[in-house]
Amino acid sequence: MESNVLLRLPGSFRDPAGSIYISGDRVFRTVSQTAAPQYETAREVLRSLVAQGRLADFEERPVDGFEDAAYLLEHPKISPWTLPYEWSFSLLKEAALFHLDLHLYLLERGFTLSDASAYNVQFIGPRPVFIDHLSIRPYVEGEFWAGHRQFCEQFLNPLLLRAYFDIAANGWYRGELEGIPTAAIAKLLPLRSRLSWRAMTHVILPAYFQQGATSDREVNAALKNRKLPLEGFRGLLRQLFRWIEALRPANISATTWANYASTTTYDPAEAAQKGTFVGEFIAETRPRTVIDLGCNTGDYSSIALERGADTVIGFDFDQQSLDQAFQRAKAGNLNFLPLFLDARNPSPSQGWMQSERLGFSERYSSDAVLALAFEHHLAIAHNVPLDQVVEWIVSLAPTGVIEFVPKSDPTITKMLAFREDIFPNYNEAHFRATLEKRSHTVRQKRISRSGRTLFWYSR
Amino acid sequence: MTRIVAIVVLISSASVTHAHAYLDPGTGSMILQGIIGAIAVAGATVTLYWHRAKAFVRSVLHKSRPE
Repeated sequence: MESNVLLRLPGSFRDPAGSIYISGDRVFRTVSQTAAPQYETAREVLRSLVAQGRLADFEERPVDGFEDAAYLLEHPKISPWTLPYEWSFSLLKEAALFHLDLHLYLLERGFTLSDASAYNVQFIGPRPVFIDHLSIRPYVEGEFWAGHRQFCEQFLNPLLLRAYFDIAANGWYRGELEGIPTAAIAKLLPLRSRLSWRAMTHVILPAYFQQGATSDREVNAALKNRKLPLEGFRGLLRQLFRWIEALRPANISATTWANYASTTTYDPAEAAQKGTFVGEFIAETRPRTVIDLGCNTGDYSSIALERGADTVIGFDFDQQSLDQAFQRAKAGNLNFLPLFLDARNPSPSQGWMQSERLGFSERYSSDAVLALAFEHHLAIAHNVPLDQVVEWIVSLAPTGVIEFVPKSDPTITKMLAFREDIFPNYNEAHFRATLEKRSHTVRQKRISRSGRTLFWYSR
Repeated sequence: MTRIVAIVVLISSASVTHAHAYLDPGTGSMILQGIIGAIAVAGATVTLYWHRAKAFVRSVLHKSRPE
């Protein structure tokens, strides 16, 4: 390992216990001298968590050239690397329950977590995995749960937003980075839910005490000589677990997209043709990873997996489709991770120095891309020039299938029903020409009477 | 709320436990946990005295019972 190619991950500056370094495809973590004793104590429990699949694997490596590092750990690279504001309600709920369960497990063995950051959970397919080895440390009798506020803001509050108001938290979460502030949720909660014991415990009272209504004297008085007995600690975790486990989105009547498969403009024979084309594409190109843009509930992602892809990363902006896609992945144990994406505005690089949390194009790429019934949503519904739409899709993978939807198709007729047609060049010939500027067409197939056509490109 | 806080203070006995945390836990959550801790301690105290009281009553009854 050469130190000149080592890159310190910009997001890993908060915890002084260690840092993450990237060298090509390899991931390293330093353990600082001060954190070494707690790491040594936790090593055994860390190993057992790895064996259970709950913690990213680690191997100790010789510490060369890292000042102040007592240990150097190497981890397998996790891909895709997702951020909590790209998770649907289902993914966030899964991560929250996973985090609480992990914490309870650790407390039983005399350990605890030094924080409760949602950014410390990643997904392998639909399965959550913990990635911050150094936030697992010995529990000190009577200590407070330091991560309580962080847990509420990064897990509970965004879930409550959807469960109480049917508001998806993704945009707000992305804007705040650290989750949805408890003070804000406390102002929003309807009276009925305010009076519940759990809302009191995790939202209303913490917000009340936080907002400065409490004087320094009262704070000192309340906290001096104070201990939280282990049973109280576990009680908080269990209460949150039960609460979150029961949360459901407020509105579960199907959205436009969640029943897309049944309301689509295809007849079954046409849908079957599309599936066959995608299946052949996957079987012949043998991609390891596939990005499925506009994955909906995951029909074509499933086909890709059946035909040999290892991993499919799905993207959609419809929350209910994402929730259903996640249920499908979980039930079928598929290596399929459906994530939230508004393609007009993908995750930017942001946070401290604008590099703490990396953007979409820094984190997502694949061997193949599927963009089925997708391009017209950008090109027609949102006026993105067609050649830019094509350029962006082609940039995601060296090969892929793009479905071109012509103006004669009922969905575009509907999109243009109340507006001027400002797309004189939107036609198949122009689409093909823009695609062929960047790649060549391997195969092309018309799959609907309205003229929808699949293009298999390779660049 | 001030009264609750005051009660909390009265009940407390042990020294405060700080685990080295790099994270600012936030005043709101800390006070809340202080209260939960106090309630737990109060509960334990009440239980302890209740057991003592029961034991006392039992011992009195036991003594007064004819052999």
